[in-house]
Amino acid sequence: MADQDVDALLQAPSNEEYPTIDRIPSSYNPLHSFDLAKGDQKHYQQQYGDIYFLRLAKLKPAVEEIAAEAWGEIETAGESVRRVDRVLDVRQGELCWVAGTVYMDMPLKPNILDDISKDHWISAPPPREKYISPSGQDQTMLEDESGRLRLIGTPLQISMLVTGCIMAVMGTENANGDFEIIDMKVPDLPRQPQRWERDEVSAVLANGNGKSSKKEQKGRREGTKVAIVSGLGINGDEGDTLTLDLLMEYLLGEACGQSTQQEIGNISRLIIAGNSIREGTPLYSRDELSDKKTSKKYGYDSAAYNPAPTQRLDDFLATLLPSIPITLLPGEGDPANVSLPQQPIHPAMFPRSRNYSPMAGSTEPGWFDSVTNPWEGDVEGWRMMGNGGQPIDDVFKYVEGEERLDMMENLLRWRCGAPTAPDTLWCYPFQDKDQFVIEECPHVYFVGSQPTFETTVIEGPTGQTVRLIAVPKFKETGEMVLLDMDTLEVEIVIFKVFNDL
Amino acid sequence: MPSTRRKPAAQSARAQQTLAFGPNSNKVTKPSIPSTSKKVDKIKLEKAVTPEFSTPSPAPEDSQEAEVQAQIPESPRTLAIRNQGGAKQADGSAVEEKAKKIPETQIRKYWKGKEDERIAPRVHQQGLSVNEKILRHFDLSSQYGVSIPRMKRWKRADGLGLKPPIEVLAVLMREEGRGNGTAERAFMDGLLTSRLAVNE
Repeated sequence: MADQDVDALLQAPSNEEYPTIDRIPSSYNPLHSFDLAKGDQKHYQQQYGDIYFLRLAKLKPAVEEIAAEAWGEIETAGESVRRVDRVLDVRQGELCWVAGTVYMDMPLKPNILDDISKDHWISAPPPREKYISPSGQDQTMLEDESGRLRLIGTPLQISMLVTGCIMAVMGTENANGDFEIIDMKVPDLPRQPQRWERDEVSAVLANGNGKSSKKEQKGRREGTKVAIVSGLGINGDEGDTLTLDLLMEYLLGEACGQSTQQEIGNISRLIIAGNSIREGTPLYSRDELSDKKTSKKYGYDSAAYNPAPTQRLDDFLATLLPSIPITLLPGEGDPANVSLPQQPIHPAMFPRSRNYSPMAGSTEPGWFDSVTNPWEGDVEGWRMMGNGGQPIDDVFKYVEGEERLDMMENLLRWRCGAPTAPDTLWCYPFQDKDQFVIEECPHVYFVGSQPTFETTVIEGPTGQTVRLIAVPKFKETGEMVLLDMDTLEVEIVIFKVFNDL
Repeated sequence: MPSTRRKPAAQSARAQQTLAFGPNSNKVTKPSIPSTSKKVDKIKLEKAVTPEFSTPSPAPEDSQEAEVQAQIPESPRTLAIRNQGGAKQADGSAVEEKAKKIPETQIRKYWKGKEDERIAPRVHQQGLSVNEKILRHFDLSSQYGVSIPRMKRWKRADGLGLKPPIEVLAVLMREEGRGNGTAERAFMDGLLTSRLAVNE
């Protein structure tokens, strides 16, 4: 097929009429789980400790069920394992099991006292890559509303643990007051919905009978693909235009030959998973700011403001939007709020692209869907869940290994979308429900802005299968991920520019 | 300089057109919507959003509503979803109704049960009513959460399935019915927080 394309491209223009290739329409049904209230309704008066309480209340039944099943009948030296209600109820020498939240006490974690010392000394220490202390001063503790219990034992070295994940441990308390672990259990993957389940349910409510209408079933095509890209890193400089233009031409079907364009017609949606903009304005530290003489006119410093990145992103999106629907997640460098869940990027940033947004007051997602980070929704019936990379990058700092896929797998098995929030990851103080608790297992879990492309499939205890995708940064690798929506297989398309000159 | 006279100024002010925002305004900009229930308003909002090009515009609200209702069948999906929301509201108030019906004797029996669990009597609680004692005991039960107002905390614990005792809700409703606004937060909270903090 590619050979035909090569011949087709390197020839004189002909008068042949080529048929127009249509793009497959996308079947899209997003969830609004991470939308926060707007304006006055968003309160920050509440305490962050409520998040831990809510997470524990939600996940404790699940983990206790698994633990009771596993340890209910165990007898060691004539003694059976007893379940204990609260963490502080464990008794010395008695074999028991208890469920609670993990807390990692690490001296190298960012500390509010560092900020205070910055006022007195010259500068703060640079941010660390890992919080693990080399001398083994880290302690793992189990916590619930009654108190904390220090954990020791061999299972801790093998398994990955971060602050905020819920687990059940079995063991006994020793003379020092530490709890020696023999075994531990996590909630594992939750229930996974069937493909097209949400559409079927709404069809049931609509039609009253069990089947969705013929018209809706006809809308489900075969052979669709979804493109996922992340870390475009637009910063308005000259350097990023060429690969970005190549990506644009590829998605529009203007590049390559006829057969490749047919394949590109199968791509029904583009998902941009964060970090589309690298910082356009330089961020000065407090000392540098006091030295600079800034003239503030109209409330902002016009010398420092650089509109080029957002304009370039807007042009990129507006060129693609007439042809392909786009879902845009904000990332760490994007103009959205700092704390998770990041709210959708404001349409004021996209003067040209917002014409493709839904009208105010309509419930249908528009052609251009600017969504929250993290995000979950149904694309072609499969439940997809993804984020811009911040939770995984934070978990990376807690553990010794480098395997991002292991961290993603553990995130799903712990059922926490962002376990380290609110400890080291900024987040909104939820009061009614911890939105990051994963209640329904997705079919695809993608994380953006990772160093390399990796993918695997994990399996759950009741037959759930999840495709994990670590999407690399486009700015550095030029790779874009194509996900086949029938088989959930993944392939990548690499865009590179020859640098021989 | 001749002294300025006030009367011509008043005359010229009257000559200008004035804007009237109060009840004297005789300009009708929007027809007033009779606010019967929240659900009715929702229906109207949805009708307004779905485009219907054949309805005439300057008709008064009631006949317009009747026409629109006749022409656009209510989307079943929105109907189903709205009904689910209504059911949930009904649930919440069902619990409150049940709590209102709980007699005083049951509350006293509950409290006696709690006191019998302890060997020694509680100290420094001589001046408090039974209601206040029950509420303080609920404050200290950290398995239902901490540091948010009591009613919210009870409802949240109920929603999470932690089964908080319904007698506490009965006491809270009685205090609310009696107009006692201080029952929402513990007495200590009132002493410790600053007066400028926004109450939830």
